[in-house]
Amino acid sequence: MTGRRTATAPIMGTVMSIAAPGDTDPDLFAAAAEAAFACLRHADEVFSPFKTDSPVSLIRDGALRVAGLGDHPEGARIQEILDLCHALKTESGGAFDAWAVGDPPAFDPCGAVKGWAAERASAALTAHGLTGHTLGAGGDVRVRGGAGDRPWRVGIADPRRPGRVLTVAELADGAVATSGTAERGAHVWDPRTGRPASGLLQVSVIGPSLTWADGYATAAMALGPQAYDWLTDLAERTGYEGLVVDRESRMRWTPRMARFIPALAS
Amino acid sequence: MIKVAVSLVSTAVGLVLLLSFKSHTAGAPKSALAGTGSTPASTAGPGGAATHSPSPRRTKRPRGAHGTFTGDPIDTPYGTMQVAAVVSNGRLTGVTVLRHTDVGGRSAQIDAAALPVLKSEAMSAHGADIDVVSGATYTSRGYAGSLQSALDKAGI
Repeated sequence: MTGRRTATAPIMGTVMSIAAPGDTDPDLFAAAAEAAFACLRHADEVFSPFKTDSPVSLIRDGALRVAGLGDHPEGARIQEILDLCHALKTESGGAFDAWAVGDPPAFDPCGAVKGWAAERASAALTAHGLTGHTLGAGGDVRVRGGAGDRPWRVGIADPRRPGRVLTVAELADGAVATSGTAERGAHVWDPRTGRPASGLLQVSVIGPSLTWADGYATAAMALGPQAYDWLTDLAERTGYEGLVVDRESRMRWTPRMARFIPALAS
Repeated sequence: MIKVAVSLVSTAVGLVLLLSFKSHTAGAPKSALAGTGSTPASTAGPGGAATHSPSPRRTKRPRGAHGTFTGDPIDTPYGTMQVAAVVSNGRLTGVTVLRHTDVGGRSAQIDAAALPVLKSEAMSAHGADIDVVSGATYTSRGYAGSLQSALDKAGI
């Protein structure tokens, strides 16, 4: 592949990056990228807890009742996020709890929204004809269609050394989500302790959908020392594989991670 | 596409991590950590035997070595290193850098370098072509100096 087409946009307090093989039609690429960015901006309008009049802020502040969502123009999408947050809370045994973030505990679905929104944005790229692409949503990645005659190569950041990667995942279609403390400190909330989770440096999860990969990575960060066992069980049930970096220079990955990371094949 | 430098600190570190588990069976931890090339045999820890910690949670029939295997300390240009490998049913599933002697403030680089040199032909070519980066969410400001930013600028 010679070169790539790329586009970036600042959304959700981070930067979204889209890339496609260099032989992609430039007009098609530009239109698809703009549709995906619009999709992400819209999700930010609805779900940002930092915008005081967003539906999520209204729910948090008691001004919008969940029971009344059926009449809301964004009701269906909000319900999707609520269902996702419920599922992640159940899956993680309460370690991920969108209804108990912060002190005092408040509703904040941020840990689930970005991956879900990026999954939708990637689908929008495909719908606009950009079948082969990478979408980097501030560190969470969705790829589709491969890079011509090879899979996409997704670097997993080294949490201790900015600008370096620990290893490289190869996949034509799928998601790589990473949650960690390297960029914004300890920000994943552990409702069980009422404090930010700080047991791990970084968790990456690889699987088909970024919606779930991102949710699982966030839940694993909140689980801290129990994350590896939880991810191992999760991998057996769902096929989503995990890689954990803890504070003691220990790196562990679920047994079938080598499917995605050739360097780990033994 | 740009070449992204990947951490390759020392050949010796790489060698000690080039582990081979294929021919080993459960209950044979002694030979599960095999050095290659000119690296001294690194089959046992300081106590003379590899530590072996079977996991009671596993109910599936093991198909290979299982447990944590500790290598001998080895001297590298960056100090003395010792690593342990975690193996589940014959598959390598973890690496821990147990100790290293700090030389010139470089120890922090060595432990972070442990993962990429695992069995990786591509990495040993001193670089890796990557398309996109997965990492902790950066802020708009943090993006400016990020690897992803460099990749985005490399587009045509």
